[in-house]
Parts: sequence; structure tokens; C-alpha cells
Amino acid sequence: MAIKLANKKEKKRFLKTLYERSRENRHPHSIMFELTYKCNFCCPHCYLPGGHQAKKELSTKQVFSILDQLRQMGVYHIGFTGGEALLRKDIFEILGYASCSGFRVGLLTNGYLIDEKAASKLKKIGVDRVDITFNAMSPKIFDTLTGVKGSFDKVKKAVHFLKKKKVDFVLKSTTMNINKEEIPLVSKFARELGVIYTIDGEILPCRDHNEQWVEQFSIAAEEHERLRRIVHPEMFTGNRPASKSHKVRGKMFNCGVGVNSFSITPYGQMNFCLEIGYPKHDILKEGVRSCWEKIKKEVDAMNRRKDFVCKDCDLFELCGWCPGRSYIEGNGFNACSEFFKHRAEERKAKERRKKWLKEKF
Amino acid sequence: MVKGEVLKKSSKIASREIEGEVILMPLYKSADDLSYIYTLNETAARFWELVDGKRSINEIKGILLEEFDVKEDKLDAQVKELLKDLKGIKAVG
Repeated sequence: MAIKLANKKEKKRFLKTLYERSRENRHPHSIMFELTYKCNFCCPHCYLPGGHQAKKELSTKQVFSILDQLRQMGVYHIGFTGGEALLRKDIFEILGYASCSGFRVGLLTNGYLIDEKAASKLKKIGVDRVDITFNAMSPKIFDTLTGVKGSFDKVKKAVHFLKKKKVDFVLKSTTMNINKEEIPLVSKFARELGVIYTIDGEILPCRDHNEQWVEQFSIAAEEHERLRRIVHPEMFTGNRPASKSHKVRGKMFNCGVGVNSFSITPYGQMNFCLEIGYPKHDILKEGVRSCWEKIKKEVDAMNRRKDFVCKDCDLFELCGWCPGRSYIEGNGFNACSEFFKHRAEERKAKERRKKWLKEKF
Repeated sequence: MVKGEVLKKSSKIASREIEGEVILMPLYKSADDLSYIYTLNETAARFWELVDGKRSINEIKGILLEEFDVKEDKLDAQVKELLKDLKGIKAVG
């Protein structure tokens, strides 16, 4: 009968069990909630097409109602994002409500609006993790990437305020040709702060299918790999076996979409995930549970498709393809993505080289 | 343990039922507290459910004796232990 104190190891195991059960039962476990499309930065590589309709945005009361429904459905974690979520006047009210409702709460922000007072509030509310996008240590490059003069100084200060107030936070960068030399420096900064730092090599096409920036800013997979080795050297020590693909051949969606995750827009629509503006089910009209059931059915139907484009592809196991990426490239869900195909071919060539060297020596 | 004592759930704890597990999450803000969550077994979860700021501990025990196959002295000991834990994490006042 006694209450069990979950120490770090026990907690990890317990949370893994909850996560696995949510997958088996197809209950939403971790979801993303966009609170506004308004943003104070103007990052050229952003996947959002810009422009927001303030009048259509969910009111505080509507957000609370959705949170109540998510709680009833057993959602464990919510990541709040935008646009820039901190631009909402009721943001601390929303975060506080979510935290008091027993969700694990994450906040994805550019950090520009985090001063000492805001950092204190985040601590007091009990936000579990703040993700800050930090793309360069050079003020000039940083400001170029945000489109806002002085943004580097503001965000760097925000990082120190979070540290001072003991708010759990991580730094994140997208690796691009404009900041690739900056990545090791941001990594060093994060290590000095003692915080987690992650890098992402994928620049998403815009939701309006505009791919202009992908070509302009993307770096080669090998270059990203080189940066990963600098940022996470511990991952490349010793003879680690190559990670195995867990993808099921013939199945279109191999992620959490339709299994235990979805995303919500500032206008109260439910989508497959953050990157895709689809299928936009109306939560205000139909309720969260009903929209979720619809999404599950849609994903099931897609997973049963007999004409699945990757079904017989020999790159399948090596390819990071996701149907959402094809969708935002403007080709629908069931289409090959040149971006991922190219990366998979690079990976295949690398494996072939490795095998040849092993046989030769 | 005062048997006539009436327990009230603390506003500093959020309780959730997720995937069949009843879990308690502290909302008070020291760095360590936030990293913990607490799980309740079936009987403890029912005890927690019955804590409403009106029922006495004795009344709750009476309900548990009816609902679960457990002897009174064993339940007494378990409730004592549970209360110690709940008070320890400031879940009840």
C-alpha cells in the first residue's frame, strides 16, 4: 500500500512503462500545443509561413477547456510552442494551469522575452523544461538569423537568468551553412553552462510548401555528421554498433502520429504533428477525443495503402523519410522525398565504403 | 494517527491517472521535488480518491475494509505507513 518514491532509475523505468502502454493502447501521451503564430523574430529558415490571425486564436478559457480534455485522456506531457509562445499575454496563466493540472510542461521559445522576472515565474510555475533556440555565438550571425538586431544579447541574458533561477533548460541549434562554424562554439558555451545541447540538420520546407530556404541553408549530411562528432564526442567513442532501423516495411507512419501523439494549433485545430498543417480537425466543434479518433483512423488507412511508395525501395532501412516531409514538399503523403533519398544514398555509399575497407584490411 | 482526523488534499500536489496508474506530482518548486513522481498501488489510490476534506480517516478505513480483502490490523498498519508518506511529501494537510 505504501507510496513508492520514484528515484531517478525507478522514475525512468516507470515513465518508459507509461509510454509503452500509451503506444499499445493508442492513447495520446506527449503532444505539442502551438499557442500563437505571432513571432518577434523573423528567421528565414522557419517552417511557418508567417502571418497570424489574432482573432482566430484560442482564448484563455478555450485553452483551459482543451487542457481539461487532455487531462481526462491521460496525456502526460505537453510542449507549448508558437510562433513565440511568450508573446501571449496569458502565457504564464496557461503554463500555471497546465502545471497544476498535473502535466509535465515544456516550453519551446526563442528566449527573447525571458528577463529575470519571467525566469522566476517559469521556476515558480514548475515548467519542467525550456528549449531555447541558440544558433550562433557571433552576435552578428545570431542577429542575422533572427532578423532582430540585439537579439543575441537578449537571448544570452535569458540563458543566464534561467541558469540563475535554476530553471531546467536546453539549447538547440539548426545546423546551416551560415552557422556551421558557430556550432562548436555554442556547444562549448552549453558545456560551460552544464546544459544539454542538441543540433538538428534538417531544415523543413515551409508549411506553404515553399522550399527556397531548404536549398539555400542546408548543409550536406556528412558536414552535419562532422558537427555531431564535435558536439557529442561521447557518442562516437569505441566500437558502437550502428543503430538499427525500427521502421516496419510497408507501414507509412513509423512515428507517434496516430499512435500516441498529435499537435494542436493556435486556432484549436488538431494536426498530425507540428510540422504539418494537416488535417486541421476542429477541436472546438468536435472535442479533443473525437478529433483524435479521426486521426487514428486516417493514419490506419494510410498505413494500409497497397501502393505505398517506399514499399519495395532498397533504401528503406537507411532512409529517414517521413510522410509529413513529403506532404510539406507539396507532393502529398505517399511520395518519395528527394531530400531523404539523397541522404539515404549517402549513407548507403558510406556503408559500402566501410564494408570494403573491412574486407580489404 | 488520529482516527477521527479529516484529511484534505494539498494544492501543492497534482494527482493524475495515466495508463491505469495513479500518480502524484509535487508542484512545489525546489529543484529536487520536481524531479520526483509518486505512484500509488490500488488500495492507496482508493484511499487517495476518498480523501475529500470531509471524511475522517476512520470512515475511509471503513470503506476500504468493505471493498478490499484485508484484515483490520493489517490495514491499520498500511494506512499509518501511507499517511506518513503522504504527509512527508506534503500531499495532505
